[in-house]
Amino acid sequence: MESPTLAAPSESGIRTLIDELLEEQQQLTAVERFSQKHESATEPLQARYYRELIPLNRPGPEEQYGFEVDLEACSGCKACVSACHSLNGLDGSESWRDVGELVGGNNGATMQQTVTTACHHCADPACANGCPTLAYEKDLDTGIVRHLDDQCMGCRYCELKCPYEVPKYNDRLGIVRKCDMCHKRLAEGEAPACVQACPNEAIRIRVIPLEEIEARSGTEDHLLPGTVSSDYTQPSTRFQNLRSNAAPLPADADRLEPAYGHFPLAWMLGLTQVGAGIIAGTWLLGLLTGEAFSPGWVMRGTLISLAGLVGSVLHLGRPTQAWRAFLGWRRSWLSREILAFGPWSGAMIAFAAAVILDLPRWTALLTGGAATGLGILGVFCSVMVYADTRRPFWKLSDTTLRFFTTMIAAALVVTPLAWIAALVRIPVFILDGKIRRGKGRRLERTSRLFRGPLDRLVRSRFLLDAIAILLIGLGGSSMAIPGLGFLVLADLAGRALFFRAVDEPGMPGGVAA
Amino acid sequence: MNPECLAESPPEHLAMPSPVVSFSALLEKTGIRAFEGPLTEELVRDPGRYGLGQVPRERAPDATTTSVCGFCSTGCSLNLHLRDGVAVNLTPDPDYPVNLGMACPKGWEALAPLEAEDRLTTPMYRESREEPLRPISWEKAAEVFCERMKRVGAEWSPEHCAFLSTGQMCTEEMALLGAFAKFGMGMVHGDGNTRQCMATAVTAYKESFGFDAPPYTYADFEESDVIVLIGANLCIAHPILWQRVLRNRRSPEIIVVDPRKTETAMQATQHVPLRPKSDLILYYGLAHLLIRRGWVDHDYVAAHTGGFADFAEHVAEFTPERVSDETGIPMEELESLARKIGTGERVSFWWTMGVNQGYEATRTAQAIINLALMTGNIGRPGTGANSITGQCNAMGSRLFSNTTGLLGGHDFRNSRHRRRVAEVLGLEEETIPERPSWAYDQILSGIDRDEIRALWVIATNGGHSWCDQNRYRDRMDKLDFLVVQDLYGDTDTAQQADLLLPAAGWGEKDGTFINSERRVGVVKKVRQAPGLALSDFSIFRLLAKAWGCGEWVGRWESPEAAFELLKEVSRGRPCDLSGMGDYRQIDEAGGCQWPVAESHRGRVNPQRRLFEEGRFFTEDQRANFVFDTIQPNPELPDDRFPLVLLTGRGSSAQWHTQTRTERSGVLRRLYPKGNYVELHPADAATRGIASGEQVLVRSRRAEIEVRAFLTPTVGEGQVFLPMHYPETNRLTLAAVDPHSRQPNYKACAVEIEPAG
Repeated sequence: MESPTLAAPSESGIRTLIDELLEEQQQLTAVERFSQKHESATEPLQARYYRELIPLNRPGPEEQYGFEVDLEACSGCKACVSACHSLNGLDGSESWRDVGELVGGNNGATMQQTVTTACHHCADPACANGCPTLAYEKDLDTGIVRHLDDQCMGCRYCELKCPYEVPKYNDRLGIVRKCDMCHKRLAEGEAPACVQACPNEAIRIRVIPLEEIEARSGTEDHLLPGTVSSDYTQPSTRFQNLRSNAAPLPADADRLEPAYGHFPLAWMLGLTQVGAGIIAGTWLLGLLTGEAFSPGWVMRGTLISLAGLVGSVLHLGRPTQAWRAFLGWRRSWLSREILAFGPWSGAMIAFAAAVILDLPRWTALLTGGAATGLGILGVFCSVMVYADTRRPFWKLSDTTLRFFTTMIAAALVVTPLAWIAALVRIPVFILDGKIRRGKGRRLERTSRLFRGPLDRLVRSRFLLDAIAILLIGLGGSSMAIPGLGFLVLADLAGRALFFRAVDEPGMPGGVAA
Repeated sequence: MNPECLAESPPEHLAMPSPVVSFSALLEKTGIRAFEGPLTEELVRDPGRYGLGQVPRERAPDATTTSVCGFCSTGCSLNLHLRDGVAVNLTPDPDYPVNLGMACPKGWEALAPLEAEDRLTTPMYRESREEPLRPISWEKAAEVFCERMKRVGAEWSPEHCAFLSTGQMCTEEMALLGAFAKFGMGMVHGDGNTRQCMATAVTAYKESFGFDAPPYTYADFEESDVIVLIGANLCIAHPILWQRVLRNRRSPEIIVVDPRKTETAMQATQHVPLRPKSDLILYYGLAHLLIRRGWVDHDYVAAHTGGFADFAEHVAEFTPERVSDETGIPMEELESLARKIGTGERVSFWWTMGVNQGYEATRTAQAIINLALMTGNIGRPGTGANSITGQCNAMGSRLFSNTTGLLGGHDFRNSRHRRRVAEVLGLEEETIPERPSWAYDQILSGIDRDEIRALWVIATNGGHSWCDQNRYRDRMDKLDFLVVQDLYGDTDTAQQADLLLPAAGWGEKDGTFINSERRVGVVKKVRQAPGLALSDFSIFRLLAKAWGCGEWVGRWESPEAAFELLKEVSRGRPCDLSGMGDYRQIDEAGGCQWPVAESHRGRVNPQRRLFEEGRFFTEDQRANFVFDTIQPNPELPDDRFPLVLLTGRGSSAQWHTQTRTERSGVLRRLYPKGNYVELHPADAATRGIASGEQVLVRSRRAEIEVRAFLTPTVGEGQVFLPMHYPETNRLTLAAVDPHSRQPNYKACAVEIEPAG
């Protein structure tokens, strides 16, 4: 480094010094000035700290890898979260590990316990079971549940399926990504990033017999207080040494943040159910009365349905990959929903064409019948998509009630019995009123959300529904179209509420502030 | 894409024989299931070479170098992954004797704050506070700085200008700032934010040992039989030191003295949840018990200490009954604690802010020192009365910032010392003030009295961190001229500035830090600073030249040249650096603990503790028993404010006022977004507060609204607020310890009620 001459102060002297300092500021010389200690090192130097934290042998038949966390050693430093981010080259705030907290006080015992958690590489992974594109691969050798990033269409259904908040959506890429237990590190005898980084040796990798996972995955088993019962996914992680005498609860048990709204999905659900109802109602009316199918209603039903389906495509992070969505049909209700709604849109268009172009009646009967059947099937799949997540607010009976009453009401609106549609809305009114009043412990947080942050949405929904009921109930068929408009609005609000008010299961979180 | 690497790791699933897999293989072969592709490629890891193991391909280095971390005083070494000389990633250094391959999240994220979009990239200035700050050139900035400081000097006096600096800069920078401000600009008063963290330990050590000399080395954590952690939440505040505790293979007793059941208290073999600020009574009571039970090392006391007899007399009145009554700790707990301390083979005491930040903190720290002295637990492996420092270079500041002490562990009042320093720096002795600086709080109150009219604030954010914050901000507004030098222009303090100077950060400059165990470590420039930002060292050189100090500042031509000056200035002092090598040698040695006399050059053990021979830095080479009467808490809870407010670190991912840590996406996800108060469920119940509700916390000074978090880990009658959120210090009381002048952050009176 050259030193500037510092003579008497002068304007030009300052100028020169500034230039020199700015130039020097940009010069990076550490490599030349300091010795290169590990230039020729081939083995990972960190191995001395983690060698005993990973198994020597790979899993055999009926075995898999699993994380084991010693909670007594986890002291909340969160180095594992940072290391996962840095050693895996993740984006922005992305990390596949999280640290939450349990807090308890009971009979004089007081405790807090930090909990490090990542993917549990479940024996029966809900993410993989729900994925419509088969973008999850449970490795047969290691049991590691890998996400195939290039296979993902970004539907985010796995986020709803996983009860442990593992898959994380990446906005930049339009896909989810998740922990792969650093499987390529393990394959080379290196420890996963989090294992390498824990100063307290709290995280290790074990080879676990599948039998053992099954044995601790009963309906009464939980990974930790506040988590779902382990029979749902059979998580392989084992949390050791929880000091549970103080009846700990997650530190975020009081959190009251509404869940992500998934607006395109709310749009899609609301409109497809109304559309399917209109088509079914129109077709049945024509079938039973023998009169001509109403071209207006067929058009309206088709357009509403198609508008809804566009929403479902719009919500995808990578819509161009949507063609892969049929692959998961054997296990994924979302795949089945797509398989039902795809042909349904075709059938509707054909039905509309038959009616509008005045083709022979049998064509309309046939295509309309197909559209009605596929519509019912599609709405049923929609119900199952959510019921299959095991979230109490989305349980099968309630979701069936919500989705099918919308469809039935819409179907009735196109008939002379439109006023009955008003009655059909009542059970959902009662159900939500009960939830709001806090009947039923399992929906405690939803109930608090209804009364708290989502209060306005709940009230808007009730109001819109009330207007729709009044219009249809009093005006009958003459008010069908405005009534239907309010019905659609009420349903959009209802579906938004459906997503936002759900109590998301998860691992213990941190203080929610 | 690196074809070699693909060849090395064929997709494992291809090798599988079962029919299910062959269906899967078919799907893959046809491309219907994509196992590879551009998105998969994003996360490919390659062997990192340089002993790194696999690293993300996107950030594979072509060289590595190490640097000591710039957050806390643990002083971990980070292995920087370089590409064309620029750091692109980092991992903890596996070889460094401090952190042994580990780092906390702040260390892992050390590069992120440098990348923030909102870095200050140019000097900014405004003629009047009503105007917005506007970019100016460095020439103009230097001119404005000199002109306005000199104007205050002319209108009032040079003593009316002061600086507030930091424990976050390199030692060389602190020294140059102190030298320029005091010997060049004629300032007398300058202090640092180390006043908020370490001043108590400094004062306590000076009076007890004759010099500010933390005696330990981190290996003592591993070699102790009884580890007493006092007001220290290592798990959160110093996670890597907790790692060292866990490496102890002697099955130690771990005693945690803390009103809260902290993360560290959870790990203790004995948690002592004393009443807030009753610690001095506790330690006098323990001394009483040690004497009563005959657990005093009389040989050690006789040979190496002074004042024990008076001390023994002083503690006679601290009977277990009284101590139990005043601390809330049952007598049998006191007995057990005394037994562990009295009979343990190697007992070490470690304290942090729970002790240092109190109104009688110095005497409390000395009471801890007394326990170590009377049991002979000092100067041996696994022992000591050990203060764990706060900031990365708190100790550099203690020894070399030229604030309350003269450069290099000297004394402004000592003419011999002034002559020595003047000689090394090539100055006239008369330029060196004959009195030490005011402390931080005195500089601030000097503003009230018009005795301070201009302030230069460097790398600290008092507008957030100082107690009774509203008053602090009013004082900044009152100044004729406020200069703020920082990485960012939006800190609470910077927003009030007249002149903003853009500084390079850690990683963008060279220098050294001194950690808690006296280890000098090297920091390196591995990133280019944005825009016109300059290292603090360069800024000081520039301003010194513009001021007219060009001649003597010539000796400070680079940080390394400055380090040579500091080695020389410290020669013969207890903090002797003269036998240390240059940056490269220190780097290769894994840092170097002071002292190293010239005569010991190259012959020092990497783990050293002080006082092994029982000789202290006092004149008679004996350690002093220092003690005092118990002082009342300046703000006890009463009917209006019945709760005691404790403050402290909230999480390991947050650093002080969050100026840097809030710039990392990863760190942000590791702490609560907003402020929250920890409240005992019983106290919440009597006030009708449910967990998660917004509440008002009110003290005599302010009222803030935060979220309530109910937890039994705080005691009844106590509440806790993390210090990282800007509102917290609006509540705290600006009382200081009379000896160290360190603020009393840990206990003031508040009340809480539901908001709205």
